[in-house]
Amino acid sequence: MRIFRLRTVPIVILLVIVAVVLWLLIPLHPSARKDILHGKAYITGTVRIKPIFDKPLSSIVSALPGNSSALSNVPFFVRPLIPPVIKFYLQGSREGEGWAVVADLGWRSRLFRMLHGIIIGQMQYRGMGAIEDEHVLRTPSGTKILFYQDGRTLFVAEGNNIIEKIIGPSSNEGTVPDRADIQKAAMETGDKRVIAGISFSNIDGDITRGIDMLESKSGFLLMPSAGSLIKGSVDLRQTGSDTIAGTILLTVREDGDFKGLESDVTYIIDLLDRFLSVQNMKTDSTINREANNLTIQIMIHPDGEK
Amino acid sequence: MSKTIVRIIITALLIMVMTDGLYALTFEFRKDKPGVKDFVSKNLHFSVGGENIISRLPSTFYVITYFPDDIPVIAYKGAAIHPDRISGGKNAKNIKGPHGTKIIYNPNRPPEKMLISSYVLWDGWVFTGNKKETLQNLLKLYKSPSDVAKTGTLTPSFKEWKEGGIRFWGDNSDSHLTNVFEAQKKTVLIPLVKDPKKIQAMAGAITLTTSREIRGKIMVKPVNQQALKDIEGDARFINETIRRRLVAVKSQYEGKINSSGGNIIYEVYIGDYGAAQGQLVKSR
Repeated sequence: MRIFRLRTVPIVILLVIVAVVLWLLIPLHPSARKDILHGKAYITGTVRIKPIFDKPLSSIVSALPGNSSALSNVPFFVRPLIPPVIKFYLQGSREGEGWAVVADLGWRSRLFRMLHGIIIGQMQYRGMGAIEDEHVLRTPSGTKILFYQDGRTLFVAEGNNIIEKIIGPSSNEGTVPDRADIQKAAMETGDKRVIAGISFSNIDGDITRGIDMLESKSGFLLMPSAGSLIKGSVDLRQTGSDTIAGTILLTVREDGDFKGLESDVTYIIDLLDRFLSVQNMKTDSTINREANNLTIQIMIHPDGEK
Repeated sequence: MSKTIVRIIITALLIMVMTDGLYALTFEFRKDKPGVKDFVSKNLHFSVGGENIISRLPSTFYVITYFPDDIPVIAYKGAAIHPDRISGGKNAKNIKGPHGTKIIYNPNRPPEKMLISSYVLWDGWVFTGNKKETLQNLLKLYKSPSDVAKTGTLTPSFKEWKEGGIRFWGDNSDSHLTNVFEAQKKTVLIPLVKDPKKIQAMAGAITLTTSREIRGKIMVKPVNQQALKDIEGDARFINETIRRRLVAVKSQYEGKINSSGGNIIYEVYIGDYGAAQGQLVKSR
């Protein structure tokens, strides 16, 4: 009888542990707030995280300034905790400037909820800002950073207006798409070859202002023809084991500087090609003009496999 | 981004402003020509005991980059400047150099390559730099010290070559130019020359004015006809990069690329080179 009890106790403990672990892995409900940002953003995109850790993208990302060791520094046991797909939104001056990153945490949602206090504490410890309330940090420059989980959806955002949209009382009302011009980055999340899909709208001149600011800061003309753009999209996908295909679609205003845009795009592709050549990679690109659209097809592959 | 762009531009500018097969990239500076004195005093820094010796150098001097060290050496006709300070005074040591010379060096040499800590006197010429080994290797390339001033296999016929305040020449024997450009790839994100092996030789000259104008021509000889097209592409990229920088800082710029006799000639005019360098000082 006693032996039976001695065997039963560890089995019960084990069952409880298994039950708790299983409960921890059950995803929370999806958030209804996640679509509220789409209709208001001037840039929106979806990025799959896993390809960033794999070649050839990992070597490209590592070569960027400030990222040389960032990827390799992510411990292997932390990688599964990183959400597989993130969405990001940039909001322009009309709506109140700000950005947001949204991730479906899936089976990680309960774990993240448990670790919320530790994560926001770390954000404060690492100098991102001072904790203002349970979900908000105040940065040294005075803006708010939101770290908020609703169901299984995680929101990280900066900017008062965009934060209000996420956590404010009206945020649950659903999408009010007033930016019909934007091409939605409808990434097929089931397609593992897709790396990123980004769309932008320049109807209100947000892209032009952003590029102007970048150019005046760097003292360099990167894309002086940006004002000619109405909208555009970027689609990146893996086409072979080590080849990436990119499609960029740019729509130009009726009275836009098509020639200037073509020249800027050609120069930027040359910059990309030279940057990648240092990583022993090559690019093949074609630029096609049709009606008001400029379509750029780029293939990035290891050197020697052209 | 800004840092990268500025590095690209300064590399391009230095190549524009800063070899009978002597395996070295040589820059000749003539301070008696308009604008050169001002340019070198602001852009070249070789220190001896905290003092930049550029202003003390004679009117014509040479800066030679020699691989594998990638440490520039200054060569000029005249007497050594601050020899005791260079060699560390009483602590100075010496080793036997080529052609019966004696290389004097500071055994407590600081690692910074622009700090002068070795020199050698050779038939009225002075060669000075950071590492004694660099001087030893470089001197082996010349039969006499005046060989430093002998230009390379590529002798351009344009008038800037005769009148230029700053001239440079180099060839790719022993992969010397390849090494110079490959080294650049380690420090900048965007290489100016994609495949430096395609360059056989290059030479260039520029004239400066006291109002900081630059006018110059660079001639590049590719290894073959196919390479000519690739080098032309590099020249177009350099031209466009400098143009975008100078338009942004509102400086006048004109750039032309021509091919003639199997060589590529890049002709450049910059209204105010100081404007292009503005952010370099800040970012460094």
